[in-house]
Amino acid sequence: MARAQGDRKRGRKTTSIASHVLIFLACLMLMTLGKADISAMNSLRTVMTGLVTPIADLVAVPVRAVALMVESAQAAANLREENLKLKEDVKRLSRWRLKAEILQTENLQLRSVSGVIVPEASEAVSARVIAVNADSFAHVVMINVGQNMGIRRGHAVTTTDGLVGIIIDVGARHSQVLLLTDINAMIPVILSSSSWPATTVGLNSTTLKLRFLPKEAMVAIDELVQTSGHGGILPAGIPVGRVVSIKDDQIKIKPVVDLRRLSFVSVLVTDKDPVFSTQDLLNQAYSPLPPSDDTFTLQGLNAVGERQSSDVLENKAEEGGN
Amino acid sequence: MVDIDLRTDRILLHYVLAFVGLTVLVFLESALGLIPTFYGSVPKVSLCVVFLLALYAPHVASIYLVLAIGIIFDTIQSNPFGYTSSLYLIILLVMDWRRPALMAADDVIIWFEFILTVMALTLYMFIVFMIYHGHWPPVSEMIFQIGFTAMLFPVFNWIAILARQFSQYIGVVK
Repeated sequence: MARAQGDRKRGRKTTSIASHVLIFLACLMLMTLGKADISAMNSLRTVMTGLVTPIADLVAVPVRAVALMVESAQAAANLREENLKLKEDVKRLSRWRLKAEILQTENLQLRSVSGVIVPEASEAVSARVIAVNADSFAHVVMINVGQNMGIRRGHAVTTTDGLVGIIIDVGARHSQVLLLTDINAMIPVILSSSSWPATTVGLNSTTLKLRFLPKEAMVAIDELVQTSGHGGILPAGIPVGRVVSIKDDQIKIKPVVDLRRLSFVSVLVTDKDPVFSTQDLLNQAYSPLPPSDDTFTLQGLNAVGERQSSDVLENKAEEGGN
Repeated sequence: MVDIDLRTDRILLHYVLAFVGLTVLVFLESALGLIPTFYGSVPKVSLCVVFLLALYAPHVASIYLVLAIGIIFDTIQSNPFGYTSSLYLIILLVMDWRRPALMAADDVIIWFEFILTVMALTLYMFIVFMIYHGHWPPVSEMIFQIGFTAMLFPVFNWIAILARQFSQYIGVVK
């Protein structure tokens, strides 16, 4: 009798372990299917994300309030220090503004010579961040706008500081943004001082790596890196980050946007499909500018994501001339 | 017959409570990423809770429950489906083996076992990350995340013990 009971118990334990292992294998299979990028899996994910978005939005409210309180307390503690820093920044920015105005005119003149066509204007759609990456596996955030606001895959996501990432999945009322720090994010960029092209690669960390930079290119610490527009997905001229370290061909970039403090973002919505045709890509022939200390490109988007048209720039130049 | 029905009802209630509780927990865990300190390395509090559920309420900590909860978390976080569930399943497997020894153990020993378990999980996470992305994972973020999780465990253990005592008290009163 006791032996039979023992056998039953052992049998139950074996079944339990077998079912654990089976489900574990099923999980591994699901992960493999996810990696295979099967469209059915992607559609399933979009539907499921659409279902969990409202709950995530609701649950995020108290957490966001706590985060805001903590941040406000920290800000109050650092008020004096912050004030001094801001005064210093204002002085520095005033000098930059003057320099920018001069360079803007110069940029306009160069455009008229080279015949560069200003890309079509984008419309900035504001969105709230619902969920941020909680672990280091994927650097993806969820935002509360989707097809309802004309968002499509490939649209650039920015803040007033610069590039945040790119839309990778769109639901009816939500979208997922692949942050530029994600290991799968590769952004074609140029160095602002010399226009040498390179690619930033995410490390699922707070910094990026600069790759495919030509050997003859000179890089300086604190140099701004901005989108080049190559590949036709992202518009050119959006600030991406600044060089923070150069060690044995390893160039690290710190994003200009503080991705830890994302609350609101702007999605740059364009009418045109963000992915251009092959001919468009071929037409983007690249030639770097000669190195110059006083070259600083300001082409691109302003703080709210608007691109200034050539007409506006011409009018400004005329006003300056008069 | 009535007894069996009552017992079934109670187990079902426990299941529903565990599912709802864990769902809210994973949503909260996900929302903690909004706090700048925890950006990209939110303490995995759900690991603590699954560990404690497997220890104190093994009848509730079923593989289907952790599979569902893991998939919800992966959906919010854009992780590959099955990644978080597999972490929870490893905990259940470990606890299946270690529960008899831990039931009579001190809190410090339980904590120590939890640390060993999460260290094994970290190794698993490293391997999965490298296979999936073909790249070395961000070590400091992962260590911060797992270290913070290990530090928070005693708090959750204390809450679990209190809840257990409370439920026993309620049972006695009834």
